[in-house]
Amino acid sequence: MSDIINANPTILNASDLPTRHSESRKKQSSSAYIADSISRLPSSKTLLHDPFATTPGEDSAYSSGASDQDDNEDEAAIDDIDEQEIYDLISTISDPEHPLSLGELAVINLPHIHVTHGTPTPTNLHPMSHVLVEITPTINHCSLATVIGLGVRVRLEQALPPRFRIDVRIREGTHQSTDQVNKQLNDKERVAAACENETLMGVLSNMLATCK
Amino acid sequence: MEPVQEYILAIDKDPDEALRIAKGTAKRLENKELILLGLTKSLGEYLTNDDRTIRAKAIGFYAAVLAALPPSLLSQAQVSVITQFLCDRLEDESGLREISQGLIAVIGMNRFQPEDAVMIAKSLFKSCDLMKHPQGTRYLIYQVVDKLMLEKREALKQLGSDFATGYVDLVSNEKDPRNLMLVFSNLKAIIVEFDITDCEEAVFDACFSYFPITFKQPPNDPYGITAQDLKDRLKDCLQATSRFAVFLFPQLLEKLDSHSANTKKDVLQTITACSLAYGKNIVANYWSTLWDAIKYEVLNASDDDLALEALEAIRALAVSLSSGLTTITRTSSLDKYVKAIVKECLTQLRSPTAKQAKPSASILSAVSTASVVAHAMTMQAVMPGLMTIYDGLEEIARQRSMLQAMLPLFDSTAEIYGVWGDVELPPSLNNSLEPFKDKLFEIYSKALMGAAKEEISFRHSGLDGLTKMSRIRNFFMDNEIGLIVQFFDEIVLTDEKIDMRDTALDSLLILSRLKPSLIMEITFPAFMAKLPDKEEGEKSYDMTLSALAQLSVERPVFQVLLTRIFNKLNIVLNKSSGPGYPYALVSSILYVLRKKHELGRDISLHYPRIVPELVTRTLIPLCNGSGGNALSHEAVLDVTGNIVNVILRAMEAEQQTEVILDFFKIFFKREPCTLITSEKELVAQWFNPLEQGTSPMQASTIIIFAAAVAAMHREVSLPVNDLHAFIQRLFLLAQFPFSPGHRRALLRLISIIVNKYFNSPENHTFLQKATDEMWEGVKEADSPEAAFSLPALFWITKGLALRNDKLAEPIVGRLLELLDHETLGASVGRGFEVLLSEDPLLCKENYAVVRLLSQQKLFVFCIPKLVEGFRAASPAAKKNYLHALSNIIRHVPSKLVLAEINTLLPLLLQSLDLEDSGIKTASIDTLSVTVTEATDLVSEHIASLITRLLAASLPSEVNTVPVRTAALRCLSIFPSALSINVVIPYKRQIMRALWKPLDDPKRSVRKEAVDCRARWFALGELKEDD
Repeated sequence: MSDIINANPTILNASDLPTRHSESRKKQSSSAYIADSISRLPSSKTLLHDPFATTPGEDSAYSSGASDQDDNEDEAAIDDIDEQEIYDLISTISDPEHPLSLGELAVINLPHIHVTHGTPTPTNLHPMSHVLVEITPTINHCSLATVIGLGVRVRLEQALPPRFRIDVRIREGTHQSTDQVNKQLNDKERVAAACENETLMGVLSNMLATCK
Repeated sequence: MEPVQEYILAIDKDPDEALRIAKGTAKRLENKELILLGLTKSLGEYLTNDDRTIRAKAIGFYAAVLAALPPSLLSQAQVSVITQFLCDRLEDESGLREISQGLIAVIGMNRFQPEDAVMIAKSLFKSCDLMKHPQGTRYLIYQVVDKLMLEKREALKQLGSDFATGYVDLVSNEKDPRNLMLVFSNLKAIIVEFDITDCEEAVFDACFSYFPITFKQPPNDPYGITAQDLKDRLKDCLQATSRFAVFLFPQLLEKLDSHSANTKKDVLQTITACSLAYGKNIVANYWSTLWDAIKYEVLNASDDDLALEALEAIRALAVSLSSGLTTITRTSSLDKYVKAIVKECLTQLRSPTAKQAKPSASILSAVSTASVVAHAMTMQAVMPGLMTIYDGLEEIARQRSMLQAMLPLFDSTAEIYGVWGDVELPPSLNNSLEPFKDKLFEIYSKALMGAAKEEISFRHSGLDGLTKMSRIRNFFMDNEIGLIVQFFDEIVLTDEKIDMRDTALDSLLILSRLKPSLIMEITFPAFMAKLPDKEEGEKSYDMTLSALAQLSVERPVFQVLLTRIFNKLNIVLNKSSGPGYPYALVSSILYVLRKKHELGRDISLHYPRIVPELVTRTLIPLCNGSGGNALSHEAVLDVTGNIVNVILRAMEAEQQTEVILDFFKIFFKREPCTLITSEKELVAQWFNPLEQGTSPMQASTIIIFAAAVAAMHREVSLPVNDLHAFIQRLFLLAQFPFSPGHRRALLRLISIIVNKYFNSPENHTFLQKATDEMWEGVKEADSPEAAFSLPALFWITKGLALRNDKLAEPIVGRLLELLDHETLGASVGRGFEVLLSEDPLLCKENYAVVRLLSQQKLFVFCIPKLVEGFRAASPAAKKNYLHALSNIIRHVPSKLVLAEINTLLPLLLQSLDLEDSGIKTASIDTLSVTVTEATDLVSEHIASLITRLLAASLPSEVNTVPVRTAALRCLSIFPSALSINVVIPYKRQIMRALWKPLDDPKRSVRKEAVDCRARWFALGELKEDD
C-alpha cells in the first residue's frame, strides 16, 4: 500500500468511544476497586460456607451457593445482543491504511448500527434477527471502502449466531459510488469470490487481528 | 632426523608432540646450541617443496619455535632478519596462517623496531588477497595488524593515508561477525588517530558498506556476538569523526526511505548518535535536510517505536545545537531550527483533531526537553500561536484535542524546571511558560469545571492539564494549587462519572506527595464532612472512604482519620445501623494499616490507639444486656480480628507476651484487664466466650481471639497452666458450634496451637491419643452429625502437615479410607478443602511452621491412594473421590498436578460429567494448564476432551457462567498450544458447535465464544503461504 489515500484523517479519542460502562467499573478503576474491597460485606454464602455442614443431602455445601438470591438472578437474566455489542465486535477492526481502529476513525458509529430481533414464539425460541451496519468512509472517494465493508461482514459472520441476517452498507451520501459498493458487499457470490482471493484475505486477517 | 622433519610428521597426528619438538628447538637456540641461521637453513628444502602443505608446515614449525623463545633473546638485527624473512614468505600464500602466527610472535619480541612494523604493514597490504582465505586465517591477519597498532602505532601513523587505504583494501568484503568486530575497532582507531585527509571517503565507504547491519545471531553461536554488538561498533566508527558528515547524512537519508522498519530504526539511531558526536558546527549545516526527512517518520508513523526513535533524533539535533548557549540567541542555528519546527507543527495543530496533530505536539515536546534554551525558544515561539488557535476553536472536540496536544509541553517543562520538592537547583533562565500561566489556568479550569458533565474526555483533558501544571516547581502559587485541589475534591465527591472521580483522586494522590499540607487543610475536612451518619440506601460512603483511606498513609493524617472514624462509628452504632457501614468504616482502618505495612512502616505503634478501642466497643454491648450491635456481626468481627492480627504480628516477642496475657484475661480467665477501657469489671463478670454456657454472640468473638493468638511468635508461650486442658476445652466447644464462623474460629485456633506449640514427645503422645479417640468416634458414626469430631481431625492434621509432622500422614490415610463410607464419604470429600487450602491466619507471616514442600508431600501421599481408591470404589462413592481430588488440585500449584497428570487426566475427564459446577470449573481450569504444558497427553485424549468441553459450554443448571466461560477459554487454547496436525481435524466440528455459544444468553460468555471461534477460524488459514 504505497500511496496513502487519506494521509491525515480526523480521529476520535479512544475514551470518547461508546462503551458499556457499568460493567467495566472494576476493571478500569483502582479506587472503585478499593472502595469495593472496603465496603463490600462478604456474602452470606462466604460467611456460612462450611465444608462440614451437617444438612442432609450430599452436595449441600456446594449447592448452598445456589440459594443465594443474587447469584441466582444473575444466572437467569438474559442479555440480548444489542447495538453496543455489535459495535464492540467491529469497532476494534484496524483500518487497512492507518494503525487506528475503525471506531477511532469514526468509520463505525454506534448510531449507525441497527439490530432488529424477531419475536420469539413457543415453537421458535430464536427467530431470525437482522443487523444493519452502515459504514462512513473517511473520505468520499475512498477506494478501500469495499475492503473495510468486507472486513466488517467477515467479522460479523464469524461472531454472530446463524440466525442473524447481516447487512453491511455504505452510509447514504458518504461515498461517491455507494450503490456499486453496496452491491458488492451484499452479493453472496461476490463475497464468496472475494474470500477466495489470498491477497485480499491476507489484508483482512491483518485488519481482524486487532479485534478484542 | 632434523627437528623440522619430525615436526612436519607429527603436526597432524599429535599436535602436542609437535609443540614439544618446537619448544625443544627453541631451548637449543636459547642455550646457543643452535644458531638462528642454522634453523632458517634447515627449513630450506621444505620451503621449496611442491606440496603446499609441506611448505606451510615448515613455516608452522618456524613460527612455533619463535613463539616459544623468550622475547628478550633475539638481537635487533635478528628480529629484523626474521621479519624480512616472514614478509618475503607472504608471497607464498599457502602458509598464510602459519606466517601470521610467526609475525604475531616476532611483533612480541622486545627488540622489534618501528621499521619492522612498517615493513610488515606494507608487505601485508601488497601481497595479501585475504578473501581467498578462510575466516580463521583472516582473523589471524587482523590480529597481526591489531598487534602492530597496539605496539607500534606511531610508526604506522608515519605511513599517512597509505596505511588507511591499505587497511581498507585488506579488509574489504569481510563478512564474518567475529572478524568484523576486530576490523571495526581497528577502523575506529584509524579514523580517530591517523591522518586520513586524502582518503576520508574510502575509509567512510569501508565502514558504511556494512550499514545497515542485517546479521542475525545463529543459534548456538560459539562467539556470542549479537547484531547489537556489531551495530554499536559500526556506530562508533561512523561517529568517530565529524568529517564523515558530508558523506554520511545524505546516504542515511536515502536509506530512511527503506521499507524495512529495522533499517529505519538504525538510520534514526545513527543520526541521533552522530548529531550528538559531531557537534554544533557540523549539525548547523545539516539540521534542515535532516528535519525535513525525519519529521515524516513522526507525522506519518505506522509504528510507535519508530516514531520514538525519530523524536529522539529530533531532540538530539536540538541538544547538539544547544551546546554553549545559555541565553536565547536570535541568530543561532538552534533558533532557526526551533522556528522551522514550530512553523510546521503550528500548521498541523490548526486542525487539532486531525491525525497529525498529536505527533506534532510530541515533536514540540521533544525539542523543548533538549535544553533550557531550547525550551525557552520553543515556548516563546509556540505558545502565542497555540493560544490564538485555541481561541478560534468552537467545537468542543477540537478544543479537547488542542488541550490534549498541549499536555506533553507541561511534562517537558516539568522535566526542565523540576517538580515541587526536587532538591537540585532550578535553571537560572526564567520559565518561558510562565507568561501564559493565567491563561492556561483559565482554559483548563474552564474545561474541567465549566463543561457539560457528558463531555468526559474534554473534562479529562482539563483535569490532566491542571495536574501536570500543578506539579511544575514554582509555577502555580499555593493558592492556585489550593483552588485546583478544591476542584478535584468536588469531582471526587460529587461527579457522576466514575472515571472522572478516579482520575481526580489519582491527581490528589500525586499532589498529596508534592503538597501534603494542602491536602490536609482542604481535602480532608471536605471528605470527612461528606460521610453520612447512618447507613443509606446507596452506598454513598464507599468512594469517600476509599479516597480517605488512600490519602491517609502518612502518620499525622492517619491520626486524624482514626479520631474521625471512631467518632463516626459511635454515631452510626447509636442509630442501630446494619453491619454494612460499620464494616466499611473498620475496613478502611485495616486498609491503611496494610498499606503502611507494605510501605515498610512500623504499624505496631498504633496498638494503644486502635486495639483497646475496638475490642472494648465490641465487647461492652455483649455484656451490658443491650444485646450487641453491628460490631458483633461475624463479618465485622473478621475485620476487627484482622486489624488486631496485623498490628500484633508487627510486635517483638516481648511486647506480644504482655499483650497476649491481656487477651487471655478477657477471653479465658475472666479477670479485669486494662485492654478494656471502660467497665472492665462488667466484662470480667459477664463475658465468657470459652465456656459452654456462653451466648452465641459472645461465642463469635473467638474470631478476634483466634486472630490475636495467630499473630504470636513461636517463642511467646500462651499464658495457660495446662495447654492440654485448654485445647481439650476447644475440642469440646468445636463439637457443637453456634455457627460455621464460630466453628471455623475454634478449629483454626486449635490448628494454630498444634502447629506452633505441640512438638514435644509428650505433646505427640497427647495428640496421638486425642486423634485416635476422635477417629474411633467418627468411624462408629452412622450420620454426618454423629461424626462431630471429623472437622477437628482435618484441622489438626492441617496444622501437623504444614510442619511435615509424621503424625499427619496416618490420619490422612484414614480419612482417605472413609471416602468409601456410605454416609460420611461426601463430608470427607469436601473436608479436603481444609487440608490444602491456604489459610489467612495459619501462615508464614504469622510465624506458623510452614515447611518447604509440605504441600507437595501431602499431595504425593494422597494422589496414588485417591486414584487407586477411585478405581475400586462403588459408582456412588466415585463422586466422593472426585470431590476430594478437586479440592486438592484446586489448592496446589499446577506444577504439582502436571507431574501426576498421566494418572489424573482420566479422573479429571470423569469429573466433567459430575453435576457440580464448582468441581467442573476447577477441573477445566486444571485442564487449561494441562493443554499448554502436557501437549502429548492432551493430544491423545483430544477427542473426548473436545466433546466434553463443548458440552460444558452449553447453558444448563450445572453449566453456570463460570463453567461455560472456563470451557470456552480452555478450548481457545488448543489451536496455539497443540500441533496443527492434531487440532486441524476438529476445526469443522468446533466451528459448527460454537454457533450455539455465540447465542448464549450471557454477553460475557458470547464474548468468550467469539474469541474462541476466531482462534479456531485462524487455524491453518495463513499457513498456505509457507
